[in-house]
Amino acid sequence: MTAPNVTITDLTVTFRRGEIRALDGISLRLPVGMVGLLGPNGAGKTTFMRVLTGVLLPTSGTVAVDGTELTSRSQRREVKATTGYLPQELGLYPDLTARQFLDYMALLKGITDRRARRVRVNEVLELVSLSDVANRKVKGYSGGMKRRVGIAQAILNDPRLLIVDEPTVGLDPEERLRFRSLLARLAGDRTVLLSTHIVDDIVQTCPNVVVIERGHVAFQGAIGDLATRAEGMVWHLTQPATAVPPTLPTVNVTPGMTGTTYRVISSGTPAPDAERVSATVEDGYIALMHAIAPERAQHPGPNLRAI
Amino acid sequence: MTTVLQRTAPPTAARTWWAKTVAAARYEYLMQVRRPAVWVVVVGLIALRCASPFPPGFTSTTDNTFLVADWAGNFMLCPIGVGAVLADRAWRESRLGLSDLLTSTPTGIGPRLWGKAIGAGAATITPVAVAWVGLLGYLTAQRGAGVIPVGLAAFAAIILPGLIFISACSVTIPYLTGPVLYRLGLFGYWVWGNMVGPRFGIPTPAGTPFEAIGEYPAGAWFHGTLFDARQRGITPTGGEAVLSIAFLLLMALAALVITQLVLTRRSPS
Repeated sequence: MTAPNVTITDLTVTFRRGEIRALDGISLRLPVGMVGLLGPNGAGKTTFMRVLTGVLLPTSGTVAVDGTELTSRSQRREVKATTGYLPQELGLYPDLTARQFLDYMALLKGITDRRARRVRVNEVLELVSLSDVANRKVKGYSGGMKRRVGIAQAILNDPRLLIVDEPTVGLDPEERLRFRSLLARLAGDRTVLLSTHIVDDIVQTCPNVVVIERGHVAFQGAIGDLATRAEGMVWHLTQPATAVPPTLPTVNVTPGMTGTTYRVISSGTPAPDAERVSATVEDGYIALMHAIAPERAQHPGPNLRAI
Repeated sequence: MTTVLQRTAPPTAARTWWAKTVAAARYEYLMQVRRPAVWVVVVGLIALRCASPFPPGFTSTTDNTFLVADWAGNFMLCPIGVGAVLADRAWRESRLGLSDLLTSTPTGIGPRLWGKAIGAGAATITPVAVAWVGLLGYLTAQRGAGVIPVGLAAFAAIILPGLIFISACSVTIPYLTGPVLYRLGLFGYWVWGNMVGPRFGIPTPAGTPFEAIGEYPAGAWFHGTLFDARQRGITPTGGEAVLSIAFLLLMALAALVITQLVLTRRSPS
């Protein structure tokens, strides 16, 4: 199995007869391995993923997987056969067991041979550590277990392109770590597109990242390059607890004995006693979102190429 | 790392369509038949009507065909229950947040719609069949095994066509109306179209081959008691009974085919 060549060209999606432009002329090529997709609420991440999975048709522009464009119904079905999707709003049939649900999904994904289907369902149940509870109805599962059923169904057809939308929302820290490592294991020689609000999830697993803001690609490149966008602009600013907080973009706030320390983004020195610190990916992201970074245009990295 | 699937032979498109439809039907059946509401509502309506069988005295007849036909007539309320508990199936995937997941598979809307109609429909008809089998068991204990074949024939000819028609309507029309409005409409249609005879002076299909309670097959083949057809001065023939059944089955087929076409046009899958 080889990772697919996913090329997105001038992709635009509008709603309400063009009033809302959810995606506005996105062009990029996805590399092999884990690719993080970051962006604020309403930036267009879910819309982007729904188009890639063939769930939503674009208003204009093209998505091509190994040269097959998702234009006709038959072409979309061809691409869907090798794509896995874990949607943000994951629903399951509550009255089915995990094994029954996966068996049904395997059939819908075209695995019609009963023996092959049974083997495959057992494989994915093992992979997501649900074999022991596979015969229990999913309505009795915890949020984390349901998410694992979600990822299990996504990999049933051994997809070359795996798209996961906010997979760790609502999970406890341990479950989140487990989920993260599972996705990293799956990446291997396939492309995994991971959308999340949690920057740390992307830092820990994704060598490459795409940032979408208001339907545009605000950044695409290596994860380290996102951090360097804020280099030299990150400051620790300590003020008395009673003082008015700074109006600068603030990454975090730490209360202390001597006052409150703000981690802020500023292109100039925000105060005489401010201390410059090294930038993290989160700083780079906040800087980008507040348009402080030197350039907001697309910034191709070593593996992500702007078209 | 997961492995690439080794398929023994690539399935043909037709075989795939059929396999997916059967799978969808199987799982829809499983999910629907486990719902307590299906049993409570359907069996409740049967019990309500059969508590005082109509017309009075028919249970004392010695003619088995007449007997089972009039018992079948007493199942006339159960299609309302069948339709009511099927009506929420149409939007179920959307309500459960499964729409995107299912649309992301390479399977189109067809196998899922037909699977839902066949599987959920069969599951909802199951309580009717169980009640009928129970009744036949009771009648067999009273009158002997001769009731069984005629009882099964009466179920197939009098009760089942109406149930299939209502089932098909109940998994398709709610896409347009939503389940609540559909249930109200179904109740109104059933009373108007099958129980309000021509004596009320309201134009109605009751007493014509286009009603859904099986009066024509009951009258033509089982010598069952006629109500609305008699008011119209009609004694149904075998041909009219066939027409009545064919009409219901064709309407069911049309509802499903039209819905499949509309949903396929709307869906990207």
